[in-house]
Amino acid sequence: MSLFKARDWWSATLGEGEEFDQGCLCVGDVDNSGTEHDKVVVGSYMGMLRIFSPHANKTSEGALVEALLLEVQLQNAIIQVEVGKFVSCSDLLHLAVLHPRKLSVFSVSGTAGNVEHGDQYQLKLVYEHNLQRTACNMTYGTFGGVTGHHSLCIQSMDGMLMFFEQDSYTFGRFLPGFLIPGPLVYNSRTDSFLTVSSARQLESYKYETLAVATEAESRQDPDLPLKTGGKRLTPDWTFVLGEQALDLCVPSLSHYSSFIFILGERNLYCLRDSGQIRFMKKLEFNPSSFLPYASVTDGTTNLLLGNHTNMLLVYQDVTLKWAAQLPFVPVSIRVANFPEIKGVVISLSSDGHLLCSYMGTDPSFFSTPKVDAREADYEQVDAEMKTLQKFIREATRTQDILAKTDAEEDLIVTVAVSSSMDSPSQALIQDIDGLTVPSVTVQLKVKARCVVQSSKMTVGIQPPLAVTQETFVLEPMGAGSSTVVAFSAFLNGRYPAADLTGDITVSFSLPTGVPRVLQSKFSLPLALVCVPTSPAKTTKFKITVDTNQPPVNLNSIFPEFSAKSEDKDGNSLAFQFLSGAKVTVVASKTSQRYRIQSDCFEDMWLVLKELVQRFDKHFSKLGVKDFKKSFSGPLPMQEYFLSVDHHFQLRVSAQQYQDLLSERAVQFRAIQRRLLTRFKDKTPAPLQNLDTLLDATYSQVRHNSHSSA
Amino acid sequence: MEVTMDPLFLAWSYFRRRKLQQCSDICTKILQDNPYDQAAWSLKTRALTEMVYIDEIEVDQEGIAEMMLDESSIAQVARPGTSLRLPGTSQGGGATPAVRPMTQSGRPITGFVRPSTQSGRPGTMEQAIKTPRTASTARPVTSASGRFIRLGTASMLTNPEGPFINLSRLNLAKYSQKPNLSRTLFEYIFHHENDVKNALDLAAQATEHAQFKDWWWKVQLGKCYYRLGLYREAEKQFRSALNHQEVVDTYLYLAKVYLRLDQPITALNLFKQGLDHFPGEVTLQTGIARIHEEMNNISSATEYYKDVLKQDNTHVEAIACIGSNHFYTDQPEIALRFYRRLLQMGVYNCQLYNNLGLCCFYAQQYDMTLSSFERALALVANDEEQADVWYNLGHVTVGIGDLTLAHQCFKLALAFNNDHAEAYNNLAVLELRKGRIEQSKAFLQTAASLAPHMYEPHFNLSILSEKIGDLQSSFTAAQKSEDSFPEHVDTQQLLKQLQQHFAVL
Repeated sequence: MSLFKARDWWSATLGEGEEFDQGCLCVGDVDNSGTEHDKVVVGSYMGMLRIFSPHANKTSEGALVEALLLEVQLQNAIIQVEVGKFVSCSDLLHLAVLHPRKLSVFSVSGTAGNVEHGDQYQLKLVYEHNLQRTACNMTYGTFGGVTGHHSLCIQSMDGMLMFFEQDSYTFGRFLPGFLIPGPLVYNSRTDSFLTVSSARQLESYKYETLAVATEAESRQDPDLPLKTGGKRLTPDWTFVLGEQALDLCVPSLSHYSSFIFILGERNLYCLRDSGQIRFMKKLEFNPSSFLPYASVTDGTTNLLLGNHTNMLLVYQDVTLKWAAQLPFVPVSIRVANFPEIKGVVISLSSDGHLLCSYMGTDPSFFSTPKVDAREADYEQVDAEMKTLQKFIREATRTQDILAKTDAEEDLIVTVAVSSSMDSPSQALIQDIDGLTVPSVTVQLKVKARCVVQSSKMTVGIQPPLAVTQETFVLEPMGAGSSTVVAFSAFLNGRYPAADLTGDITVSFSLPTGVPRVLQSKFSLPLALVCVPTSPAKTTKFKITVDTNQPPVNLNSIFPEFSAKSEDKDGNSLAFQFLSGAKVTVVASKTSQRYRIQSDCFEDMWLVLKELVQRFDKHFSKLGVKDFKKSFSGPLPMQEYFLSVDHHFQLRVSAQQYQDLLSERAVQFRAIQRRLLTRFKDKTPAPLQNLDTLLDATYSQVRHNSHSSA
Repeated sequence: MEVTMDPLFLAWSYFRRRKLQQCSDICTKILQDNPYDQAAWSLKTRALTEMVYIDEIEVDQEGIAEMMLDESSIAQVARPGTSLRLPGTSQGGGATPAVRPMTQSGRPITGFVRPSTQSGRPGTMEQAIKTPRTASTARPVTSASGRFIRLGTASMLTNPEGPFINLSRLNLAKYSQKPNLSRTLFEYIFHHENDVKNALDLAAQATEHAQFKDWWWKVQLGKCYYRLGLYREAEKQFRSALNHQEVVDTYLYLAKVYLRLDQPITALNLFKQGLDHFPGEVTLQTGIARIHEEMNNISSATEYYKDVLKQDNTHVEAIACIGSNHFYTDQPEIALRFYRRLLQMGVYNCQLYNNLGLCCFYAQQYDMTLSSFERALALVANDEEQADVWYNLGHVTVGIGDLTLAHQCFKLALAFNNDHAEAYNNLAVLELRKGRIEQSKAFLQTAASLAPHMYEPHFNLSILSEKIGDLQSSFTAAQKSEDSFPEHVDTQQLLKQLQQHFAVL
């Protein structure tokens, strides 16, 4: 991510399908022209060696040809090129080329031609060494403090350092604990070699230590004990990096101190040459190459850093000074001086793109792609808009996020209460005071109009009535399908029921996920809670109902109760509630009155309600429109209040029992807790009659629960 | 002309150039010829690791299991400004939810989405499961291991004959003795195989072999402990590693441990201590800024982000966060400049255009607004982004008064993201204007259930209920609104009014 791109000064694409890596680029005045102007030497893995002297771009065609001083195809792959004083008795710069199995040193010379483009360059082999082992990389320097010329050190793939002093091989040493080669660099100030080993640490070896260590050739077999002749090779100091290094560099910036720059895979380190950390920077990208160079400000170092997101970053210590976009990932970066321009950044990509660039404020070439904007034909757009608007209006009318409540139900529930009692009875209490408790089957038919999912049905009924199954989970239903479920209702308590109606709630969801609820009611027959019996003459409570119609035969009103009745003219009928009380209904023979009488005031309600309901039904069936029923005389408030009072008393005492019970329970738990701490105690202590107390409380609790029940 | 080269050298070179697949292929060939070539084995291990490597510092996904089954929480009721878990512990300087939207955990929405921005700690399991996604990131991960497992299985595809290294048959004790192999092997086990237990074994034996003097192994031990949720042990290892060698990474890991232990102040101090050793380290400064931001101390966060930019002026996160802060402090023009800068740097995605569009709108540069949103729509990667763009377009159309279009925009937002609570809320307001109270109420209730942390739906519901005379629901809704935004003046006034009303009754 950068604002600017590196400004292109000169560029070339080298060969086709050639490969390049870190060591393949070097700069220097390789032809000893004496002008301090650098040439760019590039070698490829395919064995091509090229030397360039870039000029500012004049014409695109001629530039490459004109800048290319020399192009030679060598026999072997070139893995590293270096420029240095590699020939003894000569102060001239020579070119060292490292092949996998050979080291060659060339001299490059140019002879001025007669015509304009006639300069002629020649490559002359000065000496070469055949290597016993596959080389990996090399470094050069004034090993051992020799001045005037450079020695070479080659690291092989299996961890041997081979030292060459000009045209002679001096010695070879194996690095200890070697596995995979790391970058190798020579620090002239401390006369030591630095490398990052497979143990992921920076190791520093003094040249003298290397010189006196065990001769490499003498320990071909690593299992043999070391010969006593040499010392075991140990590093001068080590520094754990914890990561592999991509590159190492010791720029010679001043004579007083030198810094070791290490480009790790995730961090950039700068160490003093004694192995202390000077600064480090965590990199938030994948670096590819770097090059420290002199800084204008004292005490700081500048650094060029290339990364895998095609960026060239310039750091001053840890501060980012500039970021420029490159057209490729640089595998190697150098800085060179040319006749026209100084300090050009030369970068090489792995596929042979060589670029000489400088920093500038050319904007980065990222431009936002165009959105496929149509050329607007306004009439057409208007027409399209109109049709779309129509669609939208239509859509908002018919369908919305919130579905509108439909007029017709998606699910229909029909309840059918069976007219006859079950045999055998499903009731849990078989009989009360010798009377069999009957049960009645209720059939539910659920019919779906559309697809219905996860439907659940609940039956709600007032105690003491109960049903055999309260909840039903229905299978998903398709449109038009129906399901039938059945359950039985019965009396499940020894007191009269107050209400004979029940609720059915069906909850389901539509395929769209909208939850729906449907409710429906049903009423159970009176015969569920009472049986016919013989009428009683004298009772405590009487209620008289007046009507405006001629009296009807009670047997026709209550056909299911008439069978046992001895009274054939249907003037009286008696109901024996399963829970006790007996209620008698007497129809007056002459007047249009009906009398309900019982010893128990509360129990008359159910019969009265049933009577009124059946009258309504009966007369509406007969087509009588103005049927009226009334109660004349004072309301039996006294009796009503009495039963309310009674009920209240019962509730109060129930509450009292509850309180007492919870109090006892608390006490019980407290005693338990105390006992537990006593028992858990390591030093046994007397129970202090807590056990007796516990027993007593327990019996109290039992007693209380009995009486409250 | 073909030039033959040593295959191992070529593999090594490929590895350096990050052509990992080629490197791994060559190493596979070498290993076929010579299965005991340690160098090739090690190089392949490194290449495979590098393929799936993710910086452990950035991996921070707290799964539901970690959130709910965390037993190391220290203070349930922390003092203000000392915990990340309590919402609304701002020490002033933070924006209120009226100005800047909040995530569910009560933190302001940040300008840059990173894994830890979602690490709000829900109070209950229920809340954890139905977390809304306000920043399109707030959905909790079902398990922290989800991502790691995927990384592990990805490697199987590249090796059809099975895993490269069979961990169960590895003699860890032998490898821990070899410093040149052990580190590579550890990274492979940890990052590629994601087998923390074996990695821990190896690290423990290796650190013993290094006589407890190698800081790197201690850091690795700490990483393993962290993954296993043993934060105190991890802290011990990181501390000990710092005693040996000050490294930026160790500071970052240790701070991560403290953040997980909900000790942001300690983490801040640690970062500052790290900055003393590594002045100008961007990652440390970013860490400080993030903590300040999460503690709702936006002004300090912005200061630190500015410091970051002084060190590294291409830092996308810093630019984005400063930009969003300017936007929410009513300076859309300045925010616009920051976002434009990001665009120039090559950040090219839907979110950026979304922000640009909004900034343009609030900076009254209407010509650019719609074209920005057009580009944002062209760049959407998923439905959530599309919903966000339509939601913002809805805002713009409300601003220009085209309520029908706004209605349609919010509807579209909901069509793309069915639990976009903000869109529900705004749609409800539009419905209310049309006089469709039932619809409006339903939308508000949906919004409130989707995003209980937002005060707007509650407040709107309260106003609506009050207008139709349902004072009881109005009161409960107002109370909820007050819970999520105690300083909201309108809510307070409404509550007062209602209380007076009740008192009269």
